[in-house]
Amino acid sequence: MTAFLSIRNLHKSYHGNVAVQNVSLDIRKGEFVTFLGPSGSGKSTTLYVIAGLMSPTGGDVLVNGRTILDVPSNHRNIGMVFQKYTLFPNMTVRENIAFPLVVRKRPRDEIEARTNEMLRLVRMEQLAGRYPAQMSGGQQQRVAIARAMVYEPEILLMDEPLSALDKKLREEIQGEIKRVHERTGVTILYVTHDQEEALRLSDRIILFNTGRVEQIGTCTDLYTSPRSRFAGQFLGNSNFMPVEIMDAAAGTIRLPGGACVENVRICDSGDVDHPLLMMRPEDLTFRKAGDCASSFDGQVRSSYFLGNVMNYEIGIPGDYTLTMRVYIDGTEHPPQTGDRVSVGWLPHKAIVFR
Amino acid sequence: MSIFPTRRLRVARGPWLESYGLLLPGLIFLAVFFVIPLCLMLMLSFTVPSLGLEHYRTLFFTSAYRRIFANTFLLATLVTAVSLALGLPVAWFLAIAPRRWSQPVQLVLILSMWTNLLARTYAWVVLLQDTGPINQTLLALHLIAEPLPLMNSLFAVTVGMTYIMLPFVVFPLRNRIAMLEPALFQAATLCGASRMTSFRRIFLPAIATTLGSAGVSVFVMSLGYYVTPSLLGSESRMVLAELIAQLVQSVLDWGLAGAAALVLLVMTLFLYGVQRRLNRQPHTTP
Repeated sequence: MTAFLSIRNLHKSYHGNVAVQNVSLDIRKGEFVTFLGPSGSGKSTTLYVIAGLMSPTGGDVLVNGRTILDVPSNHRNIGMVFQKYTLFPNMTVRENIAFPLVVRKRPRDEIEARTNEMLRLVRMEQLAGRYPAQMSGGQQQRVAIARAMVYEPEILLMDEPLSALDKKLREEIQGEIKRVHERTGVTILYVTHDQEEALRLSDRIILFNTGRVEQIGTCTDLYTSPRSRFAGQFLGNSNFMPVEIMDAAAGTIRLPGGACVENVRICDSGDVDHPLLMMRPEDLTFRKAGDCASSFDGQVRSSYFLGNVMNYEIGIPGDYTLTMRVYIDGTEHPPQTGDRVSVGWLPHKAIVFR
Repeated sequence: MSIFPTRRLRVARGPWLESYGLLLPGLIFLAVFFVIPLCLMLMLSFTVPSLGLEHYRTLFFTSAYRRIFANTFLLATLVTAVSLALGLPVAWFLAIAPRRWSQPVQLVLILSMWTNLLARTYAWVVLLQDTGPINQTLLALHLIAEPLPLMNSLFAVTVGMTYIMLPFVVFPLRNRIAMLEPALFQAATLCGASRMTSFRRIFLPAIATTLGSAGVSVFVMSLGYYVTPSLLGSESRMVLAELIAQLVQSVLDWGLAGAAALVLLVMTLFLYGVQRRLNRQPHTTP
């Protein structure tokens, strides 16, 4: 497979601080890829280097096998939507969308046609004559998407474009972005720190941490097979507990209470000092007391209702707290705060990082 | 009780006295010490020595006075143009340069603003006179045979007044430029705009109102300026403020002085109105 967009050993430091180190990626044409990571993990910096708004201190960025680092950013033909509202305040919606084509000195009727097409694509025909100050944040970002797409760039970069919007609006525009992607087939690189947004939108997620790529994979890959404690922690709120590995080949571990469990996946992660067992909150279930080795006896510390699921904090011996998420079907009586409970877990779904 | 406002004052609501009452002391002071004397002075232009528009006829139809109007406008236009041309790059620099570069420049600007106006104007006399450092240097380098007639010229007044007006251009513009969203220009670049295009299509429109209001304030201040033209200028290029001073102090023609003052005031108010209208742009009103 020859990659459409390749990043080779990218390195960026400023004032002695390393923002990106040794990042290498291959991205296929038409892919929707999300750069996910906490703030300061280098995901935005990588995006800005691709846009040409920052120059790297090392490495290369290739499109179709050719470097683009020597192309000035106004000639890269890359679209970008920013976190900040960047519509030109002195221009109407229509003028904003037409701007890239006007700059490129395209014929007037082509500008007219393309602008109308983009207005339709983001469903803003009604507001074409408005000025940015007369619109909501969500509307402005939709126009910004249209403006970034009007000149048919091969790559669309999005730097946390929805982080200033409320949840409902965010989901609506996520749908809009999905639709734009499906209709145009543009390659999208999307930066976010919101795991839910990443899971909802992307074909592949590239997980960033402290300037490096932590893991690359599909949403399912990253969720079910995190290769490091960081990946397990960042996607999905997981429970962690130090354990001892008795037999790595058989996946036998010993829990803090002394019980031994078999068939646990062991993963070499490199970001733990001591073997650490990870259990997803949704993989924990209530059981009858003393059922088997893979269960903990504890007490409900707190619980809260999330619509179709209950979230429980369970205190277990050794001063650990387990977070669990349980579906409520209405037939059983769910445990209350203070109740003694037994919590079971599934060894084959748990992972031990070492 | 809080000493800070606990609600926004809504001028349109509530009894008149409650809404505007706080303004009264200031309004009374202004009325007694500014509006009434000014009106008396302006009244004189219609009443002394006899009732009528005689003074205005004299002002508008005497070639000497018309030349004074022309001088005043030319000077104000020159000072405004030069102030904007020099002020914009300085403001731009102050807005984008790192602190260790911008702070010294800013300090110089503020210190000169705090310096006494007469001292600053006489400093230009020292610099520009025939025996001043500029002429002496040029003479010593044999670039000129005789001292350049720098003093008492339009050049000297323009330089001296531009120097005084610059902060009124630089500071508002610096603030405006510093407030601009950097991502706006990154977006323009990604859209394909060159630096020149971004400057013309994004940057200039964004600072246009500030540029306009700074220009109008400098123009208006220059129209009525007295100290610099009288110290650095020449008798043959007299401006309106000098005329008013002369009429009041030497000729004692209060009527004509009042007429000249009213003309100046009307021009100023007209320009203020124009600026207000220009500022009313569609994208600034939601």
